[in-house]
Amino acid sequence: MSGDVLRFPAALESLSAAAGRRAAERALATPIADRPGRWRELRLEHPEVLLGVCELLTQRIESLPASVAEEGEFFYRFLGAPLRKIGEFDEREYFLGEFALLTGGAYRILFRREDARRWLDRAESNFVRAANASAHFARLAYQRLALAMEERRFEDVLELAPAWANSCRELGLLQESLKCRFLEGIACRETGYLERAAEVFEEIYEQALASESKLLAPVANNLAQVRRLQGDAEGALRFAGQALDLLKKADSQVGLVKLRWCVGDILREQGKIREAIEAYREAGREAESVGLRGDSAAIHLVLADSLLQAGQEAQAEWEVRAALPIIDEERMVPEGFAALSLLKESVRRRKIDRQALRSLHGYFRE
Amino acid sequence: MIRAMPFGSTGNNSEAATVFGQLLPLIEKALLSNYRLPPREASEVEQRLYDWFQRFCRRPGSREPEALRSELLLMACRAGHVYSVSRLEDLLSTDERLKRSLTLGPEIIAIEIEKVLEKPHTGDSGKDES
Repeated sequence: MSGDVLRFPAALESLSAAAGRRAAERALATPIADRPGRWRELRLEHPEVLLGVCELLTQRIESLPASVAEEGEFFYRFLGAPLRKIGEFDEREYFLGEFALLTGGAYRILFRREDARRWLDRAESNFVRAANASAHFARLAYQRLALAMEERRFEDVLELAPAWANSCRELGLLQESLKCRFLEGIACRETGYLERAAEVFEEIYEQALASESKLLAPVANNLAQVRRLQGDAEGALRFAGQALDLLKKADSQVGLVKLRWCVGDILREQGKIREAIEAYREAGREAESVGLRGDSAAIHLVLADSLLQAGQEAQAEWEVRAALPIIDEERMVPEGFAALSLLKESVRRRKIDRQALRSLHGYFRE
Repeated sequence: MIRAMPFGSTGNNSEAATVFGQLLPLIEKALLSNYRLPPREASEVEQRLYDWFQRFCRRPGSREPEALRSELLLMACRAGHVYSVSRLEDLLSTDERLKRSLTLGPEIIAIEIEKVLEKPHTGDSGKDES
């Protein structure tokens, strides 16, 4: 064998972070169908561009989850092409992991749980070969906990969320730590530990306020819900008002759906049924436009219940009929199967079983 | 040899550049001594490590650059390891230190180098300086 010096591959084109971000915006503005033929021009292999794309998709996930899922899947498939060289050292594995994580997170928000699980598994299989893998595993753990929450596996969340919150804090992932505690708060609320839930949310609220965290809005939203459940309508509306401003500022469509839903609940409990119906309708329209099928089904049911309360049986039946196909397609609320069957039967007889309806939408509340 | 900073930079994180500059002598020594890279190749790897570290510090989930020194040293050793393995047959028969570095693996070598960083006056990261 000769003693020739081996050459490393040619250096990457130099690109500043700002130029990478501009190129990322341009890439995302290009229709997906046009990108494969223009990948060189769009610099889709450049790690600086990919970093910019990840940043932009992260910002958009709460307002455009369906688009983020589509984009994440595109970039994952593009980067995953055999022999495609991406950046330096571990960057290919890192970006594959990051795009899979974004895609999984977006599918989770969209309530496509099987897709979410598959993409989170893909993220894991790539992150394991990237530097600083433990931090990425912690981020992945948060997504899996959130998925457990969507599936109402509250015991799992109550056991694992505090442990992951500690691990994230030790890894220096303060936002992820707060997010895990946030899930703990929701699980407390859902299992009836309202005081504990209020304590957890108040702690997070203080920390989020101090660190100017994006979590402030959803925490305010959840404090509104807990106050409502504790019978403090005034406190609930105060937090809801704060949350509304923050969510609008952050353009969090997902958060606004949850908030309007919560406001509908508050108004209904105050006996303002007409206003409540309007709030639910607005929440339902937004859930549908964002692509939140799970929330959309649940809001149809709660709206049906409110319409029955207002004596509008025909409209209530229409709302139930709109919810049932989504519940069937997404195989939602397996634990509410009995209530679902009763409700279907009552719709067939055109006399809605209100008890079954209430049981069923109780299973949806996050 | 300590090279003037900054490198031909693609990033703009001055804190990352500072941390890289602090570790550069150790990285260079590892590449040249532990992994026997020719100086020109070592410089190229250093430039790539610099660009990588700039981006690495901006990844979601990354702590502040100061807390990522171990990851930088580990990646430097991995790069040296991969390079040397590709030239293994030529070099291994004659170079005991390289043989040791490749046998122990980049994780152990990075830890040895980091120990030198913690005790700056204790000397070299390897057993047999050459």
